[in-house]
Amino acid sequence: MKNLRKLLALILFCSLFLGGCWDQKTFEQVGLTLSFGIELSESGKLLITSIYPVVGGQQTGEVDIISTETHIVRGGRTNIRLASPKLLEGGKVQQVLLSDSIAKEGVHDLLEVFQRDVTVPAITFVTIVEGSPAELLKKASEFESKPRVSFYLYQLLENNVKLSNIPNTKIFDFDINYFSPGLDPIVPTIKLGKDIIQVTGCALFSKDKMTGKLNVKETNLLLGLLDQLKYSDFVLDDPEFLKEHDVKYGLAITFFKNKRKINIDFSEEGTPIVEINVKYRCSLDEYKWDKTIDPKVQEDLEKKIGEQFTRISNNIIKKLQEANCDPIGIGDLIRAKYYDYWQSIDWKEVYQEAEIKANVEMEIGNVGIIN
Amino acid sequence: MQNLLSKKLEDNMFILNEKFLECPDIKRQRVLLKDGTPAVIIYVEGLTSIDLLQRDIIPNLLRLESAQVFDENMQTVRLPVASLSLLNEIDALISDILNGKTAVFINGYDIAISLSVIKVEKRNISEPTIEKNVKGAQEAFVESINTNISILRRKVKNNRLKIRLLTLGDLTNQTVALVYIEGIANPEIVETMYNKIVDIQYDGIFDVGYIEQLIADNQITPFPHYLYSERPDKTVSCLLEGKLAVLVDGSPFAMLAPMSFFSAFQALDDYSTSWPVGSLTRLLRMLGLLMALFLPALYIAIVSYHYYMIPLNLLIPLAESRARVPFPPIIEVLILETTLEMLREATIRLPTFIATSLGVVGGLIIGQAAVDAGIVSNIIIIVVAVTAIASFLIPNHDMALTIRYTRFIVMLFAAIFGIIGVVICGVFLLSHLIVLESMGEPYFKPVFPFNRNDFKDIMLRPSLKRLRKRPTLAHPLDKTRGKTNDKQSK
Amino acid sequence: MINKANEISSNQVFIFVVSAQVGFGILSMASTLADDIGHDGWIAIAFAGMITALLICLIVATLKRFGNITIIEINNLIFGKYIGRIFSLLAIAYLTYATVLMMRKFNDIIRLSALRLTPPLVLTSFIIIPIIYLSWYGLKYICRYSTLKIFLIIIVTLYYILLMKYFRFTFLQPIGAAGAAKIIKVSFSPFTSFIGYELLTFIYPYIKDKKKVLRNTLYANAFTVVFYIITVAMLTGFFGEVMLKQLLYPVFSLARAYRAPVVERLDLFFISLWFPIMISTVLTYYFCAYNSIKIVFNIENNKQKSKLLIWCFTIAVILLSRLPKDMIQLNTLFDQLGYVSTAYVGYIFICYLLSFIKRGNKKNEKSA
Repeated sequence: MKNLRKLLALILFCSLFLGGCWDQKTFEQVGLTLSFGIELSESGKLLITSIYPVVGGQQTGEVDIISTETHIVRGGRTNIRLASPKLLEGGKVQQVLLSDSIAKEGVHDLLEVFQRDVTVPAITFVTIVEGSPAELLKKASEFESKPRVSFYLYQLLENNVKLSNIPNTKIFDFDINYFSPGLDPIVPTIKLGKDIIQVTGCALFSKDKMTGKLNVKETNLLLGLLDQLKYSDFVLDDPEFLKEHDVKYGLAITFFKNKRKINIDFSEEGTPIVEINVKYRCSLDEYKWDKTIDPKVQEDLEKKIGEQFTRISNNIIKKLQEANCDPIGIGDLIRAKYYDYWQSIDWKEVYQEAEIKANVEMEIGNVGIIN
Repeated sequence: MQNLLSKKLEDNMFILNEKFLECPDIKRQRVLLKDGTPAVIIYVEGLTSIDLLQRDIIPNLLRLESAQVFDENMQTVRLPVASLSLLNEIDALISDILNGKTAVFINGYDIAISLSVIKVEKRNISEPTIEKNVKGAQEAFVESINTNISILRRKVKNNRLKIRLLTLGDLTNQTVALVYIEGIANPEIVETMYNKIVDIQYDGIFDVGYIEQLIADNQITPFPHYLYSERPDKTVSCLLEGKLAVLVDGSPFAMLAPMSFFSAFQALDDYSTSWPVGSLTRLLRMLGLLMALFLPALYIAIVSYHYYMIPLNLLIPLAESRARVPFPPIIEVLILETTLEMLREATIRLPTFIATSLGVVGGLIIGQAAVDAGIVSNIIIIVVAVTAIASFLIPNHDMALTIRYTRFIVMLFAAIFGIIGVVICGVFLLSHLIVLESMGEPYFKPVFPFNRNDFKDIMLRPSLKRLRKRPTLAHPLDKTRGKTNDKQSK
Repeated sequence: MINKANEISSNQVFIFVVSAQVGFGILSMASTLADDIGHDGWIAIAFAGMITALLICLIVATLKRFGNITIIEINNLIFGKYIGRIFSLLAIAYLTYATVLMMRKFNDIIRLSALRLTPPLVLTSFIIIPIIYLSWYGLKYICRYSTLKIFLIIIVTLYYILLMKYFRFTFLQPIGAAGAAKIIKVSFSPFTSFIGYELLTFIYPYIKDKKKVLRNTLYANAFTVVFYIITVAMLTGFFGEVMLKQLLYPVFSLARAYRAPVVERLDLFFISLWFPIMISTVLTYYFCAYNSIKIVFNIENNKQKSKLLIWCFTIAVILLSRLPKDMIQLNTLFDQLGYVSTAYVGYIFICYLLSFIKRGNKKNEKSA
């Protein structure tokens, strides 16, 4: 009797072991989608492009790109699986590339699958492509001097996030900013160049619709206003700036972590007056042979740069208001501090009329090793 | 059957001859004393020093008259011997003779002399082979229990080192010694252990491992219940923590009890170096434990279930090396792990010079050839090799073996349930360790249940000044080390 | 009479109560609260914690009044042998109900997060192995195991620190926007997430040092409350109330949001971390149910029958856990579990009141 029970347990375990492994997806049999492009096709459906590295193919370093038309994002995977030699899985998606035309129509529902399905990562980069993602992926996979396109994009985005050239927008960042009243998402933009992919700044969203764009320099300062800037290179070479301050070629600085303060007040009519004070520290990278160590010269430079930054920042705010995009979270602040007022208004309308001013102060920390 | 000696030599000899029938190694030599009284000297050839017997005992005996041999009170004899006893029970005499003593029977007396002129062929004290240390004494126990006890006595020059002798083995009659330090060891534990050992009924004890298995609290477990050491210094350090040592004649190992899971990961070297270095070594060993248990299982789980846990930059190299392999990861790992275990087992039994070349064959040729042949992937070779190295980090031989075999179960579960299987196994293993007890003490003690004083000596090794308190595992009577502690700590 | 393997110290009561409380409720509590009162969920939890503390005082007072016995014997004492037994069986049914639901939820969470296709019966039977093993050996070992949970909860809290930089304090402001009346009203709903303290009625006689029981249970409750407040505040400050409403298991969604160096995703790691936590919660209920059955049928010292019982009970739990049809039904049942446990606490209150009436009888029995 006892032996019988042991035998039974053994058989049960063996059969489990042999018949088991229900969820097994052996790694080499899975095609790992690394980048994922979504755009509108000519027929008005979604055109989904999926890219995964080929392993064990005839050539090394290859990627496989498959595009398919579908109504819904998941449908893309279903269709692609019909044609792909491997079981396509999205567990390792690094970037979602959205075309700018689709972004203008609203993208929130397109990203839903990344939150619903636990196997798909929520830490995927959301990126807007100026032009067609499918084309970008196809062209980029033919670049000879660059790594596989997904790795290229991954490194490109990571490095530029570190440099504060683009916002660090993952799926969950996008969703949080989308859902929160008084906050709007911003998303990095890239475009295809000749034999390169270029980072071009960020796209402004009003809720889930793209409504405007900023270039890289403006993105730098926007991140400063958002209190997200760690450090960034910056070249001051606007013609106005050069003329106004009598600088010949321009000025290069690296500026560091900032201090930001937002003051909110209300005018008599009840529109909010917002003042954003930002303070940067910077080091001078390139200027001209001069006595830059002299306090007077430094003070003068600080003032010049500060003024220029203030001007750009105010420009950015104007663009934000035009795009009706509030990534700084002024609305959120008002909701938190003046809840009664917040309930009486529609922030999206008030925002565009609100008086928002930025004020940048600059402090030169070091000037390198020449006088 | 009569048990006492009679006064007549011939009666005694009749009984003894019967007992020692077909025992040619037991010599029975008749001699005549000065007054012509017959006497018989009985000894085991090879256990007794014949030189001493001929030089000191026999001439002196022959010079005496039978009346002069004993003193008036029958307390002692006029013979130049360091150790002797007078016995009148036949069984005791037989056991003495078998233990190598020489018995002298004199006609007319119902008492026999048992002399100790023992000479045992034994190994010299040598270096430890299993538990090597960098610093510290380079001596190990030997097979002879007397030598072992003498080593301990030399290390602890104190009359509080107590040794209780017992005889075990219904057939082999071996001496077993229960060693402890009075005033530190908890008498309750000593008594429990003593009673447990006394109760053992077995024909022969060839190693202390036999004792462990015969007295273990929980019979269904792969984990060792007691610690083994061939190092006298380690034994003494355990004695100082209030533990007991059990020595068996014929075994060069001491069994130390009670033990906790973590004491298998402590080596004496940790304490003899500076504490930061000792702590780092400790941490390394703990990491080794975790890797030895879980690394191959994690590999299986990740490669066959959770592909998205693989780092981005490793994706393609790993996929490329996996792409040529026809087997699922579990089979791949099992092939290599089993080969490795076979290799390890083989090298133990082989002579040293063959073992070395076997290592080369196994390590280099099989590994490389298996990859080339497409049976296993590159990465798995690294995983298995690292796991093997990690398992060799564990200082305790039995524990290392257990961990090595437990790993296979974890691997099987990982193959069925992925990482959840690894966690199920981990939780079950932990439950098992929590339920286990060694001499009634929790096996997993300083962690579950938590004890702050002991815990600091688990993952790290604090400086000796901070280790003034003895570990509470064995409930020592004297809780602090050193005489002036109480004043200093305050 | 009491098995030595069941004996626990009063410090282990702390561990036991924490391990019975933290486990399943917290996983979805934040989103339920966000649905009800927006970002003020953490205040409601603080209130609920206070209510729970009062109930704990009540329970301990009742138990003290009756001395060294479990609820099973209290039933017999108050209602007599036959009616008492019916009440005892009802109490056991409650425990089994809780065990079964938790087991099912446990299973569902694992199927949702890692193993989609594995047959639930197989999965459940494997998950339950450590639970049976520890229950068989006794309460002492359960408490030792649950010590692990305290460490894990601290690790989870440390995990929050990794995500601190995304935490927006403005999401928690303005504090108390929902209004005091609403908060107090809603605070009766998270209070069901605090269930677990009522298990004290089943383990009371096993506690060695009864003086500190009340204090340690209150500490345990405070520990749970603090952990819940931290979690809910973190989740609200991270996701914002509007998004929080959309999430089913916000704690797991939070785990998905951290991008770790090298391995990128830590959600699987988080599940592995939460696994032992959930095990110990099921464990406490499982043990109480199993042990109470043993007491009712008086087979505490019969090893053979205990063995048979534990197998039958396990199979019953595994099979019953398949009964709820889907996630919606399971969630409804889980909500009802809160009411049932409240009813149970109410029942203990009635016992407390009855104890005053039965006082004379009790004294007689004691002397006899």
